[in-house]
Amino acid sequence: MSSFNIDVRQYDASGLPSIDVKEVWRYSGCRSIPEDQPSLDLMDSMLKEYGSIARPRVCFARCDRMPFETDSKGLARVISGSDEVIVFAATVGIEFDRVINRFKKVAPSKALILQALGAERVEALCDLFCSEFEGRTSRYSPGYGDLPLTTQRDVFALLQCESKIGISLNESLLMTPSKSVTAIFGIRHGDVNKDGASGVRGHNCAECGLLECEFRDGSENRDSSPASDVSPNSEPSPNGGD
Amino acid sequence: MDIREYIKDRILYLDGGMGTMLQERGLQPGELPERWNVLHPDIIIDVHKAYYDAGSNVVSTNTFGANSLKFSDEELESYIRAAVENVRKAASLSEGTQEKFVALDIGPIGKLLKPYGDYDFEDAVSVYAKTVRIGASCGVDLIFIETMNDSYDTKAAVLAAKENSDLPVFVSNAYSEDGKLMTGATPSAMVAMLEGLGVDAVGANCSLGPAQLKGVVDGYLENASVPVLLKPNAGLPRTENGKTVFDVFPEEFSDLMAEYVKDGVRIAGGCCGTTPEYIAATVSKTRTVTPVPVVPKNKTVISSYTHTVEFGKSPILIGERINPTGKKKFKEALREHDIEHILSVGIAQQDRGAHVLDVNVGIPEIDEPALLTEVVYELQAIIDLPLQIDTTDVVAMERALRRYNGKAMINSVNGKEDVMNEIFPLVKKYGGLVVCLTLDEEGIPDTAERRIEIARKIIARAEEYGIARKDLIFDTLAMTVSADDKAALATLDALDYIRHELGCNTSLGVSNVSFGLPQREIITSSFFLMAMTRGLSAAIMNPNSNEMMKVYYSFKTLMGIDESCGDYIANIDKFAVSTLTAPSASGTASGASGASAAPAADDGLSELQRAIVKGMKEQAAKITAELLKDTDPLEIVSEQIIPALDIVGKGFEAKTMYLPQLLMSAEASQFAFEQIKKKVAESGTSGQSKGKFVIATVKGDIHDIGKNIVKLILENYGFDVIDLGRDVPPETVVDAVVAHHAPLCGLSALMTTTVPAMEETIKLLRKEAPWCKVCVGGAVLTQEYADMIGADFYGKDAMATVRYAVSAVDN
Repeated sequence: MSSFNIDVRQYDASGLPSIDVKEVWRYSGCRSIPEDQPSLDLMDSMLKEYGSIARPRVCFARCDRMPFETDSKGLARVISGSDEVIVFAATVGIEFDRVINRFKKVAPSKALILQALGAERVEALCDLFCSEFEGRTSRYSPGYGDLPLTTQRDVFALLQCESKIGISLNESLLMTPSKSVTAIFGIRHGDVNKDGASGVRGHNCAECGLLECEFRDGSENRDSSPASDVSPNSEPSPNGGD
Repeated sequence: MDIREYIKDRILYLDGGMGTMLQERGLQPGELPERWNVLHPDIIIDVHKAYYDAGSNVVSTNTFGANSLKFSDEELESYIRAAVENVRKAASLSEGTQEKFVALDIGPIGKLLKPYGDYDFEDAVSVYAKTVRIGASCGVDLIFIETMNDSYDTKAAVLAAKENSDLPVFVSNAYSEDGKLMTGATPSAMVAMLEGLGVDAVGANCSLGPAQLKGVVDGYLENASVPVLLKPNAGLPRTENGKTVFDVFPEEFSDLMAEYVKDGVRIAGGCCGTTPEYIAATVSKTRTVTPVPVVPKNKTVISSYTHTVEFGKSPILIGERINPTGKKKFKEALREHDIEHILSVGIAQQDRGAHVLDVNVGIPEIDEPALLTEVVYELQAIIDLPLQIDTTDVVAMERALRRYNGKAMINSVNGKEDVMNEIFPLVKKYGGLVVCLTLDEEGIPDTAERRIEIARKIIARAEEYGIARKDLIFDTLAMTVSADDKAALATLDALDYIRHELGCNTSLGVSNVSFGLPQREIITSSFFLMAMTRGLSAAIMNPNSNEMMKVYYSFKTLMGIDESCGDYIANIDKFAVSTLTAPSASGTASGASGASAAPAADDGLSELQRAIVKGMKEQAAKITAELLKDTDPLEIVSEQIIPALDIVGKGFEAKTMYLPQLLMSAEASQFAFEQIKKKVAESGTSGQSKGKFVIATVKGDIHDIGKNIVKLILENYGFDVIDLGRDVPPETVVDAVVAHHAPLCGLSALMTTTVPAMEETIKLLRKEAPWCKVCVGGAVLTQEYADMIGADFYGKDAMATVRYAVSAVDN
């Protein structure tokens, strides 16, 4: 339960940053954009699907200190010197899961692209939400770096995500809707608004535990399994052996 | 006075915010407000009294979160008892002279129900039931279920209230800014479901301020035949200096509420941020308003968990394909518990434009109640169309209706006394639009007159059960015209009369009419058109038939119910081609399209191979069908499909092709395999299986895209894959491996938190099924990890697993 007020923001799907198609292909396991017509048609059909199913929402708490305890050094480093800490949860909604599950039955390639699109969209939603705060640091998610995934329990207790925006956490610490992200960032009052050295999304490969990730900085293409890079608590793109 | 009596001709006032009031009085963050019923009854009574003083008729107990998930049984009992007592005391202390009622307040239990979440529907019913039983035993006047943001959870709470008390039930849902519940339901869908369940008032509370709820309120007023309630927040909350503040004040709030009351809202109150001041202002501005009468809307509707389908305007298409009658393949799917096949039949019908899906899984050798319930549940996980539950097994009907998320269509009742006595109580309890067949103990009458007579009897009996005419839809039974020249006419005459003279909607299973005739679709579709012109509201039909769809779209266009011919034009590609086949196809030259096994172009690939490599499904199917005319099926597989798959697999391994392309190729080859299977089945020889492969995502994990990819490609390579789904307990995996004596098993886990479940599954497999080779995969796994948990093989991607499986069975 929270000693902080929980605010909710709803967004129009069309108001999100434009879709980074290259990123969607990447989440689908492609190192470059395929050029053949069937692939392009596949992507087009899923981009059309997207508009009607996304319901982007964020709930967050604006705190004058870290609202729960954690030993994470990585997080401490990111938010050091902050005057405020923002804990938030973002989702593009349950309809994504329904439509993805539907495509799994009839066209797995569409399911693959749509889940990648969902992952890209929820990150875009996080970017948009964070951009609304002056003096923000980069963001840091449970399950990333040395912040254990069990931190999800603290985040959920704080934000009451179920009732606020309809994200629930199961016993395995998985979120439903699957296209959801939780993260923490700091605000430094009076700071010139620029993002941390590791970029808006706050990813620093050196800190990340996914050593096998083929997108890891400085590691060239180790295997074909694309893994979640930015927010390890959202559903990573699948690889062949998921 | 019974509150239901009271609201008949009066405006009823509810209370305002509770949580926000308690926080101001010192409720600490993290503290459960329900404890205050016992710890600080004086404060609670004070707040309640302030609302009665302000003019509230109904004050709700401070029990929003009082459920057995949060409290022990003893705590729960004592907090609820104290809560009811506190409201009672407040009522007696208040000097307000208005009629006063005590409502047992019930909020959501905060668990997302399956299929999205992991909490079982019946478990939710049990949790709500406990709260209801305690509250009812304290003698409250009504149950107020509020702030529910999911339709399924709402249904669980209402069933619990109805099954454990005789109290009036008011239900209020919390809408998002887009005017839908979190899980997608519109106000009209909620009205349909809740009126079906027999609640006494419906409406909206929380989330938004009065102004933002305009669309939601309109949705209720247009559709509800019971009083509509409204309990908005004091505008939108925002944080100011660490405090939540609201942007709508009593003056504006009550102005807006007065407008809503004039529009027809009959029960008014406030939610978060509102105080007695808001209620007092609302009361004073509406006291002299004449209540708008609550009139029955007489809309014939059914609903899914997202939307309603209304009958009596544009004809409704009910897809008939989920039904084993006359379908060998479907029967086999039922026997083998092939849910995937059933789902794909459903999806195909939705894609073809069906509005409702009929669901019939009745074959003699299965447990129909279990299977029907499962199929309904699985369909609702991926398809948002309302369903028509079609069974003669009353137990199956009840179980499926109970689990159905929405207001279902019920197929069927008829004029037989015992059938009416079995079915009508279910309709009354769970709600639904019931298909009424005009037959009785004496069978199906030949004449229209006798069918109309039976219809009258059914209407009268339904009325005795409290089921309105609008919830009956009559099927005047399409009989085979080849057996009786006048059969179609009798059906149509009865239908016309019931529609226009008795004022009920009508439905027909149209296909029967053409039984025994050549080119049945010609007769069926013509009959369909005739029936629509005579007043048919819905047809149970095959949406895959282009002849039927032609008639449907043409009818709408010509009747002026297809604006600017929009639907006709938008869907023309789906139905323009004839699905009829020429009576004698032999001897035509249709096979000369040039499909051949010979390489074309310069890539060294045959046409079929190119279609597969490029992932062109329809092409692959078409070319295969052509090839099959003069090529041995097995030869096509070994000489063309498998080599094509190998090309793709190698491309994937060399990273010249990516995962989406690998999948599209696999899908295309599946289309080719479908053709081959058809041919093989015709010739009677059985296909060759490489062996059985049991596959599952382990317990606790719900990621299955990767697992599905592996399955698809394994099937391409000739494996018989037994897919156990996701979140599968170790015992279930072992049971399947043992039952099939499968030589191979694949396990998938995507989360570090679920790898232990994988290890446990492997241990159990080693003990119970030592012959079985186990491969594992998933984003978090590595070779080291796989070795550590004792797997035989780590598949870094789908192709690796397939190659391993092939080598394992070949050795």
